[in-house]
Amino acid sequence: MFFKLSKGFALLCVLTFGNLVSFMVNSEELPIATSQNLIAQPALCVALHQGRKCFTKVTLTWNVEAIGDFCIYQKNPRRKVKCWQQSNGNSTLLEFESSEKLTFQLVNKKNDLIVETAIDVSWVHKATPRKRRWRLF
Amino acid sequence: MIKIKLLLLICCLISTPIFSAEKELEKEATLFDQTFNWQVMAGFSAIYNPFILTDVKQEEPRDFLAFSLLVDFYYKGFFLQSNDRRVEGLFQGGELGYQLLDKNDWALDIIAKPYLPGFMPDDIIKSKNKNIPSIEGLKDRNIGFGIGLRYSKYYDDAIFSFDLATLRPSTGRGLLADLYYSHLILYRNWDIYLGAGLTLYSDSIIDYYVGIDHDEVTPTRARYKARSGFRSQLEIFARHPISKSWTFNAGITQSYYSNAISNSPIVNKHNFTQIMLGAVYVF
Repeated sequence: MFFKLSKGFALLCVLTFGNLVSFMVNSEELPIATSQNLIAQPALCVALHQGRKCFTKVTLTWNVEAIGDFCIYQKNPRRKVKCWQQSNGNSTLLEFESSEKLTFQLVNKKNDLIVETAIDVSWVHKATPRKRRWRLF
Repeated sequence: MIKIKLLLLICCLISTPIFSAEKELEKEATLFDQTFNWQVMAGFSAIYNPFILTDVKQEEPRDFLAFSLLVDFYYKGFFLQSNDRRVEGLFQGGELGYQLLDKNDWALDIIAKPYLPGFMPDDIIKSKNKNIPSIEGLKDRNIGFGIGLRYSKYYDDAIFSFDLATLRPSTGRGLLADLYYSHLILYRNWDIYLGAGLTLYSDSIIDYYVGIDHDEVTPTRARYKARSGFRSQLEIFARHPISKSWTFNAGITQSYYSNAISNSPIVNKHNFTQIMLGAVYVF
């Protein structure tokens, strides 16, 4: 009986801590609202296979304290996404299409980096060297 | 006791992050210059999969649901692969094989797999809980395990394969030739496969599965000696990621059975449509 209780405790311990750590590892961190934000929603694009281009529509939302002229750029390769004049916040819809993580930056008129965010790319199936052939039924 | 609990707690705290980290590691590893890789998946689906046997209907809710465990394993040319588009799992869609030749655009494998599903008339009648005169008194038909050679030809977005197999003696000792072409269309995050297949069966195989022996003849079931025949198939299958571990799958297959099969008193039908909607979890 005593042994069974110990085993039960151990199992509970494994499950509890397993789930807790798994949650901590896997859950996406929620963005913390500060006075300067650039938020991508969703921040993750999932493709079926590793190395495959991933497609999704992403909303980039930004806000700053002071009104001014701002632009969002894609970093590496640098590419302008959209600019706004005399604004302290706005959003834009982006057609995301990449096989790897992309970073986006909010810059001011002087080209100073204000804040940046990234859209990550993940996949369900890892690339496998073995080619397969299947039929459905 | 406190020491044991403390030890277990420490083990939990230490081992769990290690396990999580290992999960993130490569699923492929190079061992002795050979590739080793594996994958385990679990799937569930809603299916419309009418029985080939006449008078046996898909009626109960469980007939429309399927769960499966799918395992892929490859090591030094040996492989076990399950058909993750199918819903029946390892033993209905699984293949055990060895890679004899593997070139850039073609391969030759030796394969052992169940080429044909069997059926047990008594069990079907029991599960349906009613008389089904068309199959009552029939002998069991075993699963058609076979050993074959597979030639595969790979194209950029397509694959053609040809299996030549012999089934085990208890299922007719016949030959089977299976040709299959599958073309992949990529549309955004979708994988869409268009497939066409032709399977030729020798007379002994068809006779074993749908033939009616002298001792199986009844007033409503005539003697039937089958000839060689074929099955042709067209299919569309689509897959889309739901998350890092889940995919959505949907497919439809249209099959046509030749006269040698459809003329059997226990089949009596040429065309079959099968539909599958489901999800697969990738571990």
